[in-house]
Parts: sequence; structure tokens; C-alpha cells
Amino acid sequence: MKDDEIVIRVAGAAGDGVQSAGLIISKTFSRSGLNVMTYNYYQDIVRGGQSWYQIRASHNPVKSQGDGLDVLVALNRDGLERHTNPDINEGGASPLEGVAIFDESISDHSSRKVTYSPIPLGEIAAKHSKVTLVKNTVAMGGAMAALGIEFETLAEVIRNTFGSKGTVAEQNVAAAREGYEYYLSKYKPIRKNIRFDGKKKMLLNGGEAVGLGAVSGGVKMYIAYPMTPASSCLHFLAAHAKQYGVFVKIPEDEISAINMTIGANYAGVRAMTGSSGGGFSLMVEALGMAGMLEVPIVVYESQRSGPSTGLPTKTEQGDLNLVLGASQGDFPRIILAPSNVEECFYMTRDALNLAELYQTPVIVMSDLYLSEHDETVDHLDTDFRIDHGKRAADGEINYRRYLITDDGISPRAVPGQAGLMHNEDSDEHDEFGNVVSDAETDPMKRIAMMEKRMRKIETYRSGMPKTRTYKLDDAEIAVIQWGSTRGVVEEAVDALRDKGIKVGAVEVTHVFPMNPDIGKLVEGKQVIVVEQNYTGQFDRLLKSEFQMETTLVNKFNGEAFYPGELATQIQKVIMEVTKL
Amino acid sequence: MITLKDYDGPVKPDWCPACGNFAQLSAIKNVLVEMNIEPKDVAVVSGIGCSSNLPEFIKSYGFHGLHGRLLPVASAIKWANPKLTVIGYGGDGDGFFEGTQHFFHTAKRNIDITYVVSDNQIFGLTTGQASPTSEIGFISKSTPDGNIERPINPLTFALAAGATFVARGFSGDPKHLHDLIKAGIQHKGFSFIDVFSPCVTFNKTNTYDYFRKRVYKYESPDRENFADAYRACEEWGDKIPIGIFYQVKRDTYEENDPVYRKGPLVDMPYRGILEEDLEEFY
Repeated sequence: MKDDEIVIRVAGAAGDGVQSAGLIISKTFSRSGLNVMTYNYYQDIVRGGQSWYQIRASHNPVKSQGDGLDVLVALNRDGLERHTNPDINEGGASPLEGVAIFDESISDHSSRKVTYSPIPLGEIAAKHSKVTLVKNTVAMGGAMAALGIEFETLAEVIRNTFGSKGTVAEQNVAAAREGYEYYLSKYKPIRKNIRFDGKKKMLLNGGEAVGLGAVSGGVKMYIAYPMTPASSCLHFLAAHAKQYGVFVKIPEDEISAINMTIGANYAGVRAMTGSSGGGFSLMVEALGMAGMLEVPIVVYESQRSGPSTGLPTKTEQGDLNLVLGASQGDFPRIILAPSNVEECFYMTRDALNLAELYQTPVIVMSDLYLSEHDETVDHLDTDFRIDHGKRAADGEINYRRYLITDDGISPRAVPGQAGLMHNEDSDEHDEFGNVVSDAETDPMKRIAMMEKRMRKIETYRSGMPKTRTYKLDDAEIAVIQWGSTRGVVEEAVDALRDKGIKVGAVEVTHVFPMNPDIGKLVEGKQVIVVEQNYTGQFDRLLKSEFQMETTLVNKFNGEAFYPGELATQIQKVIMEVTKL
Repeated sequence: MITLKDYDGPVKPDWCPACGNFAQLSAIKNVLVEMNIEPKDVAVVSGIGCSSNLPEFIKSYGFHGLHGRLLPVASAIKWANPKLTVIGYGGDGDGFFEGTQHFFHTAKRNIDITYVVSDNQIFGLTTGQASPTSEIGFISKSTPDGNIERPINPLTFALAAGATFVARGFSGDPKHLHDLIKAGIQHKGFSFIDVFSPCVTFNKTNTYDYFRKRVYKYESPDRENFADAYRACEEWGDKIPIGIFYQVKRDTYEENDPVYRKGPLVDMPYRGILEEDLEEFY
């Protein structure tokens, strides 16, 4: 455990209020001026089972859920026993070596590394409210006391959460205060070297950031069928539909969702859809239609553990092959993978411009880990310029929707524009949009149109941003990652550098087409590819794009990498390869 | 003044001579001219099948999409730009096999679009397999021993789903068909028109003659009476009714959506994210 950070975990069963307690604590930290990163461990169950929510906070940047555990708030016996057990089996999470806060009716005190700090949670809660979940608020009070957080910060978050003037809010504040004071009267706070600057920070999850990015990027329609973990974006936008002026709709299935999205974009309104792998699988045929009709669309694809229904509440990066290969035939597609919550915002709105500039599908790939954890970010820049790309002017003579151009991009026209009526066709067509295959297939026109569409990839590639690196300059070993593993990889790199190992990272957000600079960046270095799936789908893509020898470090148990675990695995690979 | 010529598509129809689709194409064009709607304000959305080639044959904003998926596309075009007249056009295989769920839910939503189905009771483009409306005993490439699956009744299906305009026409009676399509486009809400459209090449059973002997013009005494409509739609055999069976006024989906009510999405200026939107995250 580090002196300059706090790791706290709330554990209980589904229905115990684990997540809401976790969110209140997170917000208390972010309002105290700390950087915060959370981790949501839950099951595919509405009541019961076991779930927990971890919060890591520091005045220093926090890039992953972290290792170690300072404070545990156990909302049931199972939670206490599980997280104080040194052989905890939670996919990489650390056992508690600090303060445990729990109701005094639980009598487990078996771990020597734990400072058991029971509080009469139920008893105190009953004094303030008939609602049993108020015991969580009492526990939060105790936990904030243990960590030396000012009570008023917690009280303010509670008031915000429960409605600032209601009696419910005041009951909860009173319950929390008593928990806080009880802790201080009986136990000692943990000594940590944390600096609170009191400068509030924005806190949000990846799904919300995608939603905000969508609106910032001009989305007026979000059409999606519910599926974890893409639903955090759907729920966010539905809740803000009126405020943002976004039409939000759940249609009958994902096939309808993407066809509607295409229809709206065709008609000149920016629309977006989102799902996880299962729903995306249903969208596959229409994705190709968007490629063929050259209708701009953005699909948000948040991965979870597959195959099939898989582990519905667990993370993975196993959909890359699906997204890369989705739909028959060849057509240009752009695949982006934001690396953190902040980038979910900026990359989603960029994706909307890219889709219109290149008139082709853009898929923004996230995963459960990124979509569902909260993270502090710098204040988001709300300034944005919408770029509709090439558009034809009303009344243009001899308008050709699919005009052959050097950059592959033709001027669009949308219904309602005078004089530009034309047909957009899923059959192969000529420059006017007329089918070239019905009466007599025209091979020359087919070739010209195929080449025109595919040229858009090269146009895009010529202007794409350089690949980002982390401490790569003097590195002998390059770790290549994509998407959400960026933070944990950077922390593993730091840990290995502390041991004198010269390692750096290549961080890929523009997954396809990929920037050719990656080949040069790793030249002469040992290359390790980190990703969360069984076969190394990204590793295979890299090898198909570049000549390189790689070693795969992967994880597919459903949980995200932990920095210590990842550093150990990378070090093992380095040593094995060096020995050879 | 809009004339028929304004609606002439860039391509001549490639349907077989005497195909039932011609009468529907002609009726749609004539109605649009009669209603003085400009081609730029029309979107014609189709699926896949012989009939679905229609957008090429009519000058407007055409969208020739995927098999069974025309209704979601048409719905969203209407949602995006309600100033457009949106016509969905496809076949029985397209709409009642692969597109069944969309048909049901679009009808239920009562989106203000018109859905015309060229119902020839067979797959034409794929050269003659039994379709969802093929009758029992129907011999085709996929049912050489006769079809054993009960046909769907698209009209009662539409009624059950909650369509607010349900009608049936016959390509052999163009004048009557014209009136139906006009009433359908004028109807505010989801209008569904199933059209007997003989496939002269592959369906040797349900021919023009077959229908001429059987169809009669149904005049509903009370179009808002659901039970009467349902009963009339079920009639099949020696006598088969055509006409408007059901028509009621009900709010469209658009009218009740709080965002949509503020005006056409296509005309809404860019809003983006405002500074005050970010406050809730602190």
C-alpha cells in the first residue's frame, strides 16, 4: 500500500446499495480535490450474490483501480470474510490490510492484518430513519472519519444525492455524522500522506463520457437496445434527453437500432447507436450497408466477456475480430478505442466528424471496465466545430452522389434538398446511385466504385494523428496496448522502471486503420502486447500490419488487469525472452 | 405544378411485363402529383426483392436498403425530417418474413409513414419459393409437395399490432388502388396497404384472373370499428374484400415525444454541451 493514496472498497450483495455508497464516497473524494478511479465488481443478478466497489484516490494521478486496500466497508458478513481473506479470489483484487468497518453484529475477527472497527450501523441508522439502507450512510461516515476526510464534504454529497432540502437528505446526513463521530470516539484514523487541495474535480464514467461526447458532437438521436455494458450511455442520454434535446429511443432490436441510425443520418440528422458484442453481431449486415451507401454512422461498441452471453457483467477486449471483420465484402471502416474516460468524450465527438468526413462507419470501441467505472477528469472542453464534410449545393446540375474523386469522397445530398434527388442503393451502383448489376453487370463501373470507396482509407490515413507513447524514448522493451488498458500499462511501466527495467509503452487508440508509425516506434525493441482476450486479437492485427516478433500478455478471467499483477507478468516475459 | 414527368426515375422498371408492381408504381407517382408534393420532399424506402427495386424508378430521395429492414430506415427518416412524405415499399417476403418484428412495432408506434406491400405470395427475385403469404398446398421451388405452413394474414396482423390505417388493394384495379394509396398518404399515422400483386412469372395460382373472380370492394360502415374490421379482414375464399378496413385517429409517436415536439430534428440548430451541463459532474 502506498502512502500517497487511498484505496477503499465497499462490499455487499446486489441490492445492499454497494454502488450508490461507492458513488457517494467517490464524489466525496473528487470534491476534496483528489484524483479518483473506481472499479465496479458486480454480478448478473438484481438481488443477492456478491459485489463490491473499489475507489482509489490520490493527489497524484491515478490511472487504474490500484493494488492494496486501506479501508473496507463490509455491508454483510460475506463481504467482510471475503475481503479480509489473504487468499481472496476476486480476479486480481488485494485483500484488506487496514481498517474494516462493519456492523457490530458480525463477529468475524480472523485476520491479523486487519484493524477491525465495528460500528453499530443498524442501531445508529434506526435512530434516524426507518430505511435499513441508511446503515450504509452510517458506515460511510465511519469510513470518511477513518480516512480523515472532512465531514462537511461528505454531508454535501449526501445532500446532493438525496435532494438538498428533503428530510431524507437530513436523516442521512445525521446518520453519517453519528457514524463519523462514533468512529473517532473509538478508533484512530489512518495516517496517510494525502494532500487535499479542495479544488473540485469532474467525476464520470465512460458511458456518460461517450454520451456527453455524442451530444457535443451534434448527435440529435441516440437509438439503442439495452445491453450491458453499453447501457450506461443509453441511460445517461435518456435521463438527459430533454435537457440536451436528444431524441432517445429503444426500438425492437439492434437490427432496427442501426437501420434507424442509418436512416436518420441519411436524412441529415446526426444519430448514433450503441451496444455490446451480442447486439453488435445483429448490426453486422447493416454496418456493411452504411459502408456501401456511404452513409455516415457511429456505433459505440462496449465489449464484455464473450463468447455468446458470456460473463455479462465482466470486462474483455474480445470483440476486435468481430468489429474488424463485420459484414460481407470490403468497405472502409474506422475503429477507435479511447483509452480512458476523458478520451471517451473527445473521441466520440471526433468520431462523429470522421463519419461525416469519410461517409463511412466509425466504431468507437470501449469495454465494461471503461464504460462502468468512474474517473476524475480535467474540465471537459465544450467547444467543438461540427464538420459535415462534402455536401452538394441545392440545385446542382447533373448531381452525382457517388462522384469519382481522388480522395474517394463524394458530395452528399440529403432529402429535402432541391434538384439533388437520387437513389442510394445497397446494390453496387454507378456515380448516380443507379444499380450496375440488374440488367447487365458493368465490371468497369464496379471496379471504379470499389476503388473510390476504398481510397477513403488512404485519405484518412494520410491525416491521422501520430501514435502516442509513454516513456518509450530510452526503452529497450515496448509494451503495445490498445484501448482501456492504457492506465494500468503506464502504472506497470512505472513499477518496472522503478526496478531499473527500461520499458515503455505504445498506446494505440486508432486501431484501424492503424498508423504506420507503430512499426518504426518499436524497431529494435522487444515487443510485448497486452490485451484482455484469449487469442490475442490485437496482437494478430499488429502482426498482419507490421513485421514484428511479439509476446502476448493477456487476461480473460473477466476482471481488469491490476498494475502489480501486470508488472509481474511483463517482467516474467522479459526474463524469459532475455534468457533465450 | 408538379407533373408526372417530374417523378420519372432515372431507370426504366426492370420488372417482367404485366408484373403487378407497375400498377403500384404508377399509382404512387400519380398520387404524389395529384397531391402536388415535390419530388425533393419525398423519400421512398425499400427492402430487397423485385418490388424493392422501385426507388430507382421514381425520381425522389430513394433508399434501397436491406431485406426486411425498410421500416426502421423509413421511421428514422420521418423522425429526422417530418416535412418529408415517407413511403415504405417492399414485398411480402421482405415485410412478413424477415421484417416481421419491424412491421409489428412500427405499426404499434404509429409513425406517420405509409407502408405499401406488393404481396404476390411468392419470392420472385430468388425465382419462386413459398412466401409467408403463400397458401396451403401452394407448389413452389421450396415446396415441391405443396406448402404445409399456414399463411400469415397481414391485415389482421397489422390490426393486432395497432396500425391506425389498414387497407388492401389489387393491382388489377388501378383506380381503386390509387384511392387507397392517396388515403394512406393523407392519413396521419402508420398506414398499411397490402396489395395483391400477381407475379406473372412464378405464381401460376394467384393470377389476375384468380383475383378478378374473387375480389369485391368492401365499404366499411364504420372504419373505427375494430371488431368489424377484423372480421372483414378474415374473409378469404371465393370472395375476398379489398378497400379500407380500418382507420382511426390516434397520436403519432412523434406527437408524444418530448424532444420531437419542439420541432423537426433536422431544423434544430447545434446545441452541443453547455458549460452548465457539466456542473452535475462536480
